[in-house]
Amino acid sequence: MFVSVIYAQEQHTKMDSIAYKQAYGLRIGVDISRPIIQSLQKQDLGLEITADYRVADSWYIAGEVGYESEPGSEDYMQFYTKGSYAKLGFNYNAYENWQGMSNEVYFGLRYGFSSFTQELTDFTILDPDHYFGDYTADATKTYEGLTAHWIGLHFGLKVEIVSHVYLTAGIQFKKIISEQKPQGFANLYVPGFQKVLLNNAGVGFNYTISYLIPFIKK
Amino acid sequence: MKYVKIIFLTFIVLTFLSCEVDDICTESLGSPKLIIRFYDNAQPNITKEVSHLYVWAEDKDSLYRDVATDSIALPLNTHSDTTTYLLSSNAVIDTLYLFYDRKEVYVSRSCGLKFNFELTDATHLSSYWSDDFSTVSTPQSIEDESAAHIKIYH
Repeated sequence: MFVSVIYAQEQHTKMDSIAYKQAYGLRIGVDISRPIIQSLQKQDLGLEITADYRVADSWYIAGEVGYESEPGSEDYMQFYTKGSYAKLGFNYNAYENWQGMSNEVYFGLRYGFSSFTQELTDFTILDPDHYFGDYTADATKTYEGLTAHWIGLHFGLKVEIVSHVYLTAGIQFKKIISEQKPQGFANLYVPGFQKVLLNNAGVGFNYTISYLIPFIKK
Repeated sequence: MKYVKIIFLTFIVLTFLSCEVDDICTESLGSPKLIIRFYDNAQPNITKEVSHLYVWAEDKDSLYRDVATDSIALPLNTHSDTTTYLLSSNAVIDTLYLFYDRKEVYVSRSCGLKFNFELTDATHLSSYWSDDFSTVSTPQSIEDESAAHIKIYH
């Protein structure tokens, strides 16, 4: 508390004397929700690295790369999705910071691409008449060489928790625009896109921690 | 800063409250049934009811009990490539042997998969009450229940 008061005072005097310089640079981050879930479930689910670069006062070039290894379960089938992805686009910061602060309420647009493999591990064929009984097959079928392209709208917040370290919470609304579908199956989950809902839509959340490597101060 | 913090917390709460928009399996579940229609021996284009009909698969309970009908829908055994049905009319039993291939078909996320069938052979033991018997074509694909797959003349 005492330290922060001094810190605030220092900043205050700085602001009074000279125009505050804003840091421009490359911000590198990592998704923090997956390592937590991974350690709880004791399985590898993937990794996501994020990056953005400030090109103008409110504009950032932004992107994400990662891989996912995700088990999926539905009422009558179990499957597994594995693959890598990349997203590229921009963020616009709509938040008017007070001098010396560097938080963001951002809106972003992304183009996303994923290359992946799906495995149908087992499925149940229902017998609605209960005459011969349900049939469960556990023969693994692998569908390789699948791809998907999508457009995503990203919204979120970035808060500078300590100098140059940011915590991000965001929500993404996505729609697949083109895909390579497996023969006799469907793309139920796409790495980076996550669960494919009705009409090829998707919703995702992300939590990341990132560090700004300042190159220049304007 | 306060405003940012409030929105930040709202996001975290939203994550846990967010409910999934999901599809519910509304399509008719399960695999198509084999449709049998009964025709008149004397006038092969006209359907004719079978009286006091009982139908059951080998070692199973009856699907039809003492009915009078000109068409029946029989589920095929999804555990095997053969199904044997017994058809009894007026206490005379006929045995129907069905041979087929099972083909997996993806339906939807909520419904999963089903089987379509390719009927490769269908024979009956002897003509007790059914005189003649024919599949509409061989192999006969069974993908829907809109038309007869097997015609039995009596």
